[in-house]
Amino acid sequence: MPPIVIDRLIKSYNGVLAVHNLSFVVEPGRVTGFLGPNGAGKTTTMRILVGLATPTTGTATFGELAYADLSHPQQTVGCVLDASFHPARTGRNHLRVLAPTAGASDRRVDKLLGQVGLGKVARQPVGEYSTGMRQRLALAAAMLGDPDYLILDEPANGLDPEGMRWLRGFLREFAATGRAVLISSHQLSEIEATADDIVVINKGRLLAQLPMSELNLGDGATRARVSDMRAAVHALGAIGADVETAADERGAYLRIQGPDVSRIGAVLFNSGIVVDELITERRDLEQEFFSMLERSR
Amino acid sequence: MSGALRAELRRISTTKLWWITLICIFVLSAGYAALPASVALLQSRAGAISPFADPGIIRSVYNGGNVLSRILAMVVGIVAIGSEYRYGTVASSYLATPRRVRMLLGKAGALLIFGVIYGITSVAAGIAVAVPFVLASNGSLLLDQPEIWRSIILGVCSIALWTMIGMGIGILIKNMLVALVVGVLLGFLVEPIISVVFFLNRWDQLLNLMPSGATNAMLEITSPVLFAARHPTPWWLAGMILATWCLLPAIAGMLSAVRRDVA
Repeated sequence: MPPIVIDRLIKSYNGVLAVHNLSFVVEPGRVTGFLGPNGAGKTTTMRILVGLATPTTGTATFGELAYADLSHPQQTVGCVLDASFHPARTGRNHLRVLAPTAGASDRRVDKLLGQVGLGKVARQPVGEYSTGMRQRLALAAAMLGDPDYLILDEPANGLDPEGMRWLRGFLREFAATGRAVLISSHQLSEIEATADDIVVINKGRLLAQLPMSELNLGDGATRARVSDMRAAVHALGAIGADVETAADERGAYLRIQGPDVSRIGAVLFNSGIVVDELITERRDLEQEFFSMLERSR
Repeated sequence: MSGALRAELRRISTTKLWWITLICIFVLSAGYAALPASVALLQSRAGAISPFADPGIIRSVYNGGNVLSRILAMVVGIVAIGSEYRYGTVASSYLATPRRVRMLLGKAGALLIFGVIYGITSVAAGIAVAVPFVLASNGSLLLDQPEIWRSIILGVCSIALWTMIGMGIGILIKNMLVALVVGVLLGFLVEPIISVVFFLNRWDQLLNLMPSGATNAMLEITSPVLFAARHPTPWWLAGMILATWCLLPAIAGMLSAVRRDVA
């Protein structure tokens, strides 16, 4: 299965560049998180990829093929873009309308409705659905043709915690079968828990494309609030720790890098220093994301 | 193609509009067929030959509902396209059938099929109304005459073509409510007024070129009540004129829809 290739993509609306010379690759077998602030060009890129918008120059293809050139588009690519429905149509009929071109039977429609947890409301008009139920229906629609690629624009919007958990597991399983997922989301903790790779863009330009593993997320420095700062700096310096003083709204504290938190605790205890707080700081995707944006300015 | 057509047939048949329109067309067509039938019955003198043996009268009863049914069929065409833009579902249509011309042809095919169903319903109501009048006045349904069948079939076709006119308006005017107002105003007010002006001035050639004039000529309706031209074009030419009326907005709309980004 070939990757999704975005190649030197440019899209301008009336002279304003929404996407500016953007190139990246979405590998099969992996979940790729597509990140960027509002207006960065994520949605525009995804809409070009599935043929809803035409690029000014450049290409966005599945392997070599543009979306419109796929012989069975719904069996190749599943999309959740803006989850639009006719309010009077039932959830089941919404899928049945999309089924003939996806090569899906009514039985598959009913099976998918059950899988996304809409079995009981399948014959109710979509107008009566909650936002989360609509998102589930949109996901079921994307899966109708059992596609190789999933393109999801903010699929977690309106999902409850249980729905998000389900989505995470679903995407991991999907990618584990060798298929490709491109997912944009504002919920960076969701991306952190789901994605294998991330692509970060801002103002239509690529800031970074890298595997999550290269971000070195996880445990960072240790934060300590102690009764005697000078004694603590001295004791920790003696075991080779890198110590600096910092301050926040609750007062001064120490940021310690090098030894792990249990070693630090033991040293402070043995030195007879009273410890008010001892916390391992976590570096998460959100911090990385904002520092990438910061660096790009 | 067959997948796109089946999808569009389901798209129309999964909303209420299509069968509400179907019922309206049947009821209103029956009423509008009863009108010329009653007039003919009242005008006939006792003992004289039955008016319901005259092909002209039988034709006007069978196609009595046409004048209203074609507007309702047009409304279905407008709403079928307009609701896609209104609710943003047009994107999923394009995703299912990314070849845009193919997608629009699927929609056109499905609407044409529903237009034929509406046409049959309208004419069936006319025939149903004719039955008691024929029986009461010892007339004939004239269903053994080819020209009556031609009138029936052309009546069905004309209503189907008006569905296509609606589709064209729906593609050209993206706002469904505006498209509906424009369509109904054109069909019920503007077009009839222009036709009346042409009729009163005896400008038959211009009148024959109007959508309603072409429909009248196609059905070989000569009643001055419907402002039909005194010298209509032959039915086949009238059919081509009406087809042009539905193709023009549809093709113009397709050309604009094929190029534009989907909002």
